[in-house]
Amino acid sequence: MQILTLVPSPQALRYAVFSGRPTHPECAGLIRDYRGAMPCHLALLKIQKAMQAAAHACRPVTQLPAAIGIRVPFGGTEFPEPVVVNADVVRRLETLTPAAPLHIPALLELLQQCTAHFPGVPQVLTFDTAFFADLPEREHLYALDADLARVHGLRRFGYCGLHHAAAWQRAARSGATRVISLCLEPQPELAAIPGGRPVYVTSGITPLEGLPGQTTCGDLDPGLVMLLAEELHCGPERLNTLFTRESGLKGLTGSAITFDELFAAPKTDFMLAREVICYRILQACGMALAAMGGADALVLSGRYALAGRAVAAWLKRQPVFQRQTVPVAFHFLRTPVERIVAEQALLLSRAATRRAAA
Amino acid sequence: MNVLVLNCGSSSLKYRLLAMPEARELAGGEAQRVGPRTAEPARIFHNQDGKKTVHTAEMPDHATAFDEVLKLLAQTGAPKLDALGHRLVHGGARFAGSAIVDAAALRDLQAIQKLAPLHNPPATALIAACRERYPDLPQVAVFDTAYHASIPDYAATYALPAKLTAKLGIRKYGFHGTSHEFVVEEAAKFLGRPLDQFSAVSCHLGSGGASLCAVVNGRSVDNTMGFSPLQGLVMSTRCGDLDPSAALRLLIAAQGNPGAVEKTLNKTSGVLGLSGVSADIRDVLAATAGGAAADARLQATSQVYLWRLRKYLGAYLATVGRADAIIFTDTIGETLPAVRAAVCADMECFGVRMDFERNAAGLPLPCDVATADSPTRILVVATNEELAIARRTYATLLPDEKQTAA
Amino acid sequence: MYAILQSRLEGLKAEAAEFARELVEVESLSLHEEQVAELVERKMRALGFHQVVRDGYGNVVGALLGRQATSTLALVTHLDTIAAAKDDPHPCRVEDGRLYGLGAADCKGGIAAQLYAAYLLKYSLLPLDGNLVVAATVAEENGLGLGVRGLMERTLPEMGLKPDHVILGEPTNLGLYYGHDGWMEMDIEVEGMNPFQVDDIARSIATDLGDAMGGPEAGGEDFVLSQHGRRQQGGVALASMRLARRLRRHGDEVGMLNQVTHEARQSARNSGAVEVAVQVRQDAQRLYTGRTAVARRVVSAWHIDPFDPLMTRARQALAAAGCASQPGKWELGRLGMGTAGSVLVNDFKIPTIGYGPGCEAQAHERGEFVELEKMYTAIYGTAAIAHCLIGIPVCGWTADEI
Repeated sequence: MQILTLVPSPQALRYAVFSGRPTHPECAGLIRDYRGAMPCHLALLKIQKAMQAAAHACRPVTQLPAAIGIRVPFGGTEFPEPVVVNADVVRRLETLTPAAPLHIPALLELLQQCTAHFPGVPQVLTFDTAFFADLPEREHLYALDADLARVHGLRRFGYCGLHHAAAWQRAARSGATRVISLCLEPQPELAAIPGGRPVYVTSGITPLEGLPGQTTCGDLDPGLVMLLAEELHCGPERLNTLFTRESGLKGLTGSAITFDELFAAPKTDFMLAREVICYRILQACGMALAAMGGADALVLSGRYALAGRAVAAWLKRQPVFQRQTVPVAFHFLRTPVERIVAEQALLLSRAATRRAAA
Repeated sequence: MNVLVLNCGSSSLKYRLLAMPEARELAGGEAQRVGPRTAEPARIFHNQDGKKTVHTAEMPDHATAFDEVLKLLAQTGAPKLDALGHRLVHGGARFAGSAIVDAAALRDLQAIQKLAPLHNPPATALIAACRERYPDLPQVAVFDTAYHASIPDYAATYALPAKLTAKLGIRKYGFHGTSHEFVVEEAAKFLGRPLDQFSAVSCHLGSGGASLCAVVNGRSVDNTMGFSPLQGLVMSTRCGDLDPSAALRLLIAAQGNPGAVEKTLNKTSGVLGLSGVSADIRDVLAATAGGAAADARLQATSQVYLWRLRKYLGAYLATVGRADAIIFTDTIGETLPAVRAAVCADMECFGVRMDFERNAAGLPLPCDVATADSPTRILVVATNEELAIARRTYATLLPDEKQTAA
Repeated sequence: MYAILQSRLEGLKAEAAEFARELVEVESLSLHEEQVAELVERKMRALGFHQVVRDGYGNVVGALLGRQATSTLALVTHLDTIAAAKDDPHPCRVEDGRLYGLGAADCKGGIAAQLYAAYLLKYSLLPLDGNLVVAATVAEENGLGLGVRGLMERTLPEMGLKPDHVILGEPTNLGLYYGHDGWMEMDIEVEGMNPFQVDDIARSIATDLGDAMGGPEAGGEDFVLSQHGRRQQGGVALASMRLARRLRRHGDEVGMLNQVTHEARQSARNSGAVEVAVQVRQDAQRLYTGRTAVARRVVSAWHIDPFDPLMTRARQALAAAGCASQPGKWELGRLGMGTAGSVLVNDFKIPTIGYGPGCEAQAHERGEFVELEKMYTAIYGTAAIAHCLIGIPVCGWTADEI
């Protein structure tokens, strides 16, 4: 039983094929420029070929995967859990276009192409926002005019939910109930999860808010947006590029580095950037502690989870962690997002098959 | 030394005459409706020797209002003044402390006006007029941002391109510094701790603006306000923290006109925007105090207000590490026990235990409302910005006697 | 987002260049645009425009419909060219990155750029809030905006697509243009019994008008007087001449006509037996669809505020996209040129700007060409402006993985 997972981003389409229990992928790869010169149907053709090549190595007959799991960065409050794609799901996805204009239309095209290349295979969508769909009102509301916020769809959503959900499960297995989850992806994010339901998350309407990322600015004084528009004589489009592509670690250090490189660098390099990141994480931890009245565990996940060891060591030395009578347990979760997607796809497609059989 | 403290609002001029260093109040008051003529005449509400009087005068600008105040002080036989202390909101990168206003300082003040376009220009104009009319009267400018000059780079730096922030002077300046510094000094005195070994989170919760300040060894190390007073907590009409993408969306909706968005985020957001009925969180809390019957929107407003405050209290307690105290001050912080209770409840992980009875008891200020065994004290301290400005002015003019002044 | 547009554009360049070449290859003199119209219509259908219409005037209109349809942006060019000079064979060819041929700069490079700009947005899967209309009109060069007038009066309203802004794809060399001077042509007729007297009066009118208006200080190209012709009609002698004048401001037309009439009559004031009449030149035009209309030879001056929100937003969009752009106005080096802006801005009050790949100096010139690189930039730049005006804004999202 094979599960194909697709993790699309505007820059690349990552794929992996899991067989049986999703532990290690049978084959995996990355197709660059799939929003550019490499049209979606060619990308899927490549994936098909890669799957066939892998199948020849493993087993004699090639077959269609049992399910396709697709990671979707945005599902708003519309999708509080994973779904199997059908016409109604497509229609509901379409309504999310204004909130995630870069992702939803491309996803719809991807779904079409998946149907064309893998006819009859159930497509399971797993949403990064689903974990936060039930965020309390006190956390998801901005202090804006209510009508203005409604018209422009301004509310906190929260992202990286697949990681946070896995982090919660990991900590819960060790008996924790109040969990701080720090997901170290290119746009890092911290959430407070008491009893499995998040009450605080650093990201906002988009993943831009909160902690600074590799190229994203994170929290800003909103007044700066207007100041920059005036001082630079530029429009919101240019500022968007400035905030999302030229800021964060890149802005602070002047070089395009990853979190791995930031924490692996010699002590004297990138000092300010490292201090800024650690400090912002410490403050977010403080917010999480206040949100839950304490914490039992802190889980670091995401692709830079291991680079986060430096952050974890630093956090442990901070008085606020030292003073906890029951020490906060630190966990490192290395589950790649593909595996989380594959697990959910497997679960849902099985349930769907059972329902069909019954 | 008699110091006249001047605090310019957009259409008001508050003044207080204090004998320093003993901090004895000689006179005080407020000129209202300064500026273009309004439906009601411009008046000065004057307070001296326990007597309140009202005077009507034409006051087209702050300089004339100042003249009228001087006339009034002369008429009522107030002691002669020796120095002026001006409150300025923004000192930019140039003013990291209070400054005696000479020609060069005035030029610099004029150069940084646009950093606080609503607040700095009237004060700067008044300083210029005073220098012209009373060249022999020493003047000291005291800045809201000055106390925060000690915020370390890692807390003051926005994750924007470094070249850009250097060029435009973009950093966290922080505000309400005069008040935070004052209550921190008062709190240290109250607890009998040397200021340079005193760490705290100071919560200046005004009915208009509000900010938290993290204090380590008597010095500010962070403030929730940022480059401008817009960032941080939910305020009466200011939104506080916001996803930068929201400001961009609003900017696009306003066809790229930054002024319109600035107005929205400063004037029609915050408590007013959330509640839709009042810009004063006291109204909202009063309406929701009863519980079930209250309007859902008002409930949401108080929840968002208190939640943001609580989160930041956590963040700043984490920043400070081992805080000796949490200090509440200004209108909301001093008068609303419910606000203090909502944010201090269940905060034992920070060593904070509130005595809810003492908190609700309405004790005379300053007071301590933590339980006896709470490692972190919870203090309610009345702020006194005018006195703080007078102290700075005195200390700036007579630096050697600073210690006795404090 | 801009990275996606640029990347997707790479895959479209060859196709867009080939389409531009086909457009240039097909002759499309004013009033004979049928073949090129068919070509544009076919391309719009092939690229999947939601609506494609060829109207009764022969204009081709394609539309991409937005989600909200609260606003509409029209990209407008014209299909027709002037006639080639007799001694200029003007073969269509691509050489050294340039597409040569009649109408390459004015305005077939612009047609290809605008059509592919719309398609680039669609192909990049960037959703639009408002509608995007691409229109290529007939009878611009010879019919003085007959095509665009019909488009605005009938076709677009019938499609329910009244534009809120227009971008003209006329040659601006990738600058952002916000207007140009106008011009008008007047016919002066002298009528009398004595053919010699009529001739003398006509000559003195020509000399006096030349002295009054065509002096060196007036600028050589601002005044063109074509030599007079003579006719005999029964017992009446007629002499006629044609005068073209530059108009600096919208609304100068009436004053100009009055001034010329006054000058001409002054020259003839001592000859009682002669009548002098001045009128705006107008002639009936028969469009290729068979429809006829009267074209008045007046192109009003037009401009919008250089700080109009349309100019500001377009400038901001190009800056964000990384495209350099200079604001400016068309110079109209020779009288007789013009753009649909005079109809759109003066008559229909629609904010209009110009942004196109051609070079104004190339328009109506021998050896006319458009640089293909500039055409590609125009595709990208026009798409960026269009997205800024009617696209769903991409705020806070990055093209990187979240």
